[in-house]
Amino acid sequence: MTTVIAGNYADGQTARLHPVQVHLESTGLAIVDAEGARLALWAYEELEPAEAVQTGRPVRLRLRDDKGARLTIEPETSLEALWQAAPQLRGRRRMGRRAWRAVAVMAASVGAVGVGLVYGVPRLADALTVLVPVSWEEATGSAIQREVIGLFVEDAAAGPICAAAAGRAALDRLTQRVAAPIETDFSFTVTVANSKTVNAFALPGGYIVVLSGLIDLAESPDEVAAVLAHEMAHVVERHPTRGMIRNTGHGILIDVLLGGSVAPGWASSMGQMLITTSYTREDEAEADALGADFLKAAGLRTGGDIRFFERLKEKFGDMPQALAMFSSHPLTEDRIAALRERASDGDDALGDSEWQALRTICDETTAVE
Amino acid sequence: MSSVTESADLTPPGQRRAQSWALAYLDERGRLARIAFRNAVFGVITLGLYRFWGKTHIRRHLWSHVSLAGEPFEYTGLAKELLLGFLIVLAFLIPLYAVSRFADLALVTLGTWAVVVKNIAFGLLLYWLLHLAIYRARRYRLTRTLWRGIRGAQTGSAIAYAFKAFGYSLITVITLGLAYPLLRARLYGIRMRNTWIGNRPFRFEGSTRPLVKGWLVAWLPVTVVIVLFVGISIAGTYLQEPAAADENQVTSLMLGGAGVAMFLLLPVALVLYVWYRAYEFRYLAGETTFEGLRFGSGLKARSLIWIYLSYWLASFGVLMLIGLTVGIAAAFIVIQGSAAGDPGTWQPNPTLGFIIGIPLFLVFFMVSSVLHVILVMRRLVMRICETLTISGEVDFEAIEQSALAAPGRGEGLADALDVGGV
Repeated sequence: MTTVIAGNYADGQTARLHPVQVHLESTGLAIVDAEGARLALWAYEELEPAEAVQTGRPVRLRLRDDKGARLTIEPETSLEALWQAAPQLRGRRRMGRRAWRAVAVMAASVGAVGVGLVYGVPRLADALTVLVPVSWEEATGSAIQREVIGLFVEDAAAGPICAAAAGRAALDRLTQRVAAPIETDFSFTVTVANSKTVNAFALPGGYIVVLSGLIDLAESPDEVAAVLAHEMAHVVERHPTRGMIRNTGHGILIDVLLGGSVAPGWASSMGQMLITTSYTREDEAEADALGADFLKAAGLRTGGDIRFFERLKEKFGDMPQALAMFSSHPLTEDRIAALRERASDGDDALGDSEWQALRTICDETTAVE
Repeated sequence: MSSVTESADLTPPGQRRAQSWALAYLDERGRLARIAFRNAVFGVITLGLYRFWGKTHIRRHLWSHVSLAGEPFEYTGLAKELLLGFLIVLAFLIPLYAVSRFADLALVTLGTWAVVVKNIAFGLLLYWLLHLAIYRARRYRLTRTLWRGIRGAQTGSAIAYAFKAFGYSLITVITLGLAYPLLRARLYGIRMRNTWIGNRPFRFEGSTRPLVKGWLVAWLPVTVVIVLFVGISIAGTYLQEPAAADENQVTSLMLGGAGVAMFLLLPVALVLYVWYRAYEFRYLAGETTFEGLRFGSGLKARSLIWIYLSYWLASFGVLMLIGLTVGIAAAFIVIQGSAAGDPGTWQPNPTLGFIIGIPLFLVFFMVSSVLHVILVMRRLVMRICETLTISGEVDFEAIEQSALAAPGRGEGLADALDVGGV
């Protein structure tokens, strides 16, 4: 016994809508128009819902091999016979659990890719650093130095560079002594910038910027020597360049994630990028160890940095002044222990009068060359 | 709780019918909110990867709840098509971004100006790509839209469109925005004339001039105020310090003046702009025809303004709520802390800030995305349907299924460049 249901039929060839009678036959739905002509026969197993079946709404059907034909059945009709003949039409309820599983898989794969990239970028940066020529590093460093110094200038009236003659001479002598045993393609150019902030930076190509706040806080030339040796170690190991390449890699990832909606590169000036370069733990540990080796090889006393950091912590604690220094040179338990271990005896880095001269290096200032 | 604003009326065999057609929107806010909520939560968990499924579900809901002459539209797009499109575009976008970022490193040796120039050029390239993406995304959505089983389509070259869009944008910028209606009318024309239902195209007979009147209402007051402000700022400084006639000073003054003016003017300018967009929509719709059908729109500016305003107010409210809870919690912590140790030594702890801040930000993000779907997307569709009038005759028998091939994947570029819309 065949049931007859009223409906509408669009054949997918033209936009004409045919009011039809749908006969439930043994193999499928026979679609018959108002004149009695059979327009189509839709097999039960080929039926698919064109949209989710909801009670009270018309049922819209299509074929699995969809060419656009649509059959709409009005909601008032009792459709039990149809559900029996084509049970797959009702089977869409299980979406819930499947959806959660799919989402979990997605989250896991995104997490895996993310972790892989985060670990992969530094390795890639290491590999690429080898390819960078020294001349490029030097050109970049000198270009960035101006910018870096500009970030810390507080007093617009005074010049940014400290250049008292006696102080400069003392600084040059100190630099020479520390750098004496170092074999490297780079030549070190140390500049003292006029700023109350306590910090020191190594830029690509051998450019080292020491902020005068650091010299003010130091109580002996050994401490400044330790900082210099540490920064020189960064230069020799090319950590600044590696950091820049790594940051570039992360920047590319951000570009891709945010879809270029953040204007590319506007915000990250080169100097700022370098300041916020977080050297990896390995970089820092390496610079510590190498720096101490440099000092020992030069016959100078080591351990100045540990005194310096302890004083910094005591005087400023967690305040912003210290924060800058500590964020780029984190004082972890391991690091403190390693620093203490390396403390050894040696000569003073500078004589008394030279040290005093260095402390007054900011009595005269100049503009950046 | 659903309402049907137009009852289904089975049409007799598709002979010519002179009547008034209307678009009806079946409002099932609860279902839509559930989809939006699921999208938000899953989207966050999967770091955005779920968005392809999310967009597909929303479109399916919205399309199927809009009906023309009793027959609903249908969205046949699949999430995997969007995903595939995205992956393919990624394959060429990653090298592009990589080149751009590495160029920074190389160019900095020339000076920071070189980096700025490169960034400007790259930004312009992305802008061009944006229009390319818009056109291609539109083609994808049209080919995935069915009505009475007939597919939509879009012809025309996306690259040509992108160049035209770029050119008109340039003219707009050069004329300080005066030529904006030219850009809007021309691009709309290109898009609509290349839009098909089956094998029949839309037609657009509009031009720029009728739009200019409306645009002047929005553009003129804003521009005049900005110019006045800048002029006054410059004059003021000149009167104070006649010696300060430095070039840098003048430019920074101009920029500063414009900046301040815009900040004060911003809400007014926004309202004027939304007013113009309603005006423009009514005009453009009125000049659009399809076969024997003529369109018209009674979309009012105030409904648009209220849609966006209520969304911003709601988002602001959520933000305030979150801020309030954080504030109370923070005060609690401070009181606890000072009870234990020395009051007044409580320092903001950055790690704690992150631990609290990030989840709160995510909550706000999720809530506001649900609000956006319910308050903006849904109501826009509702208003447009309510106010769109369609009159005339059409021979449905003559509209045949499109023979054009549909793109196999979709919208990768539009997704990668964060093109908005539904």
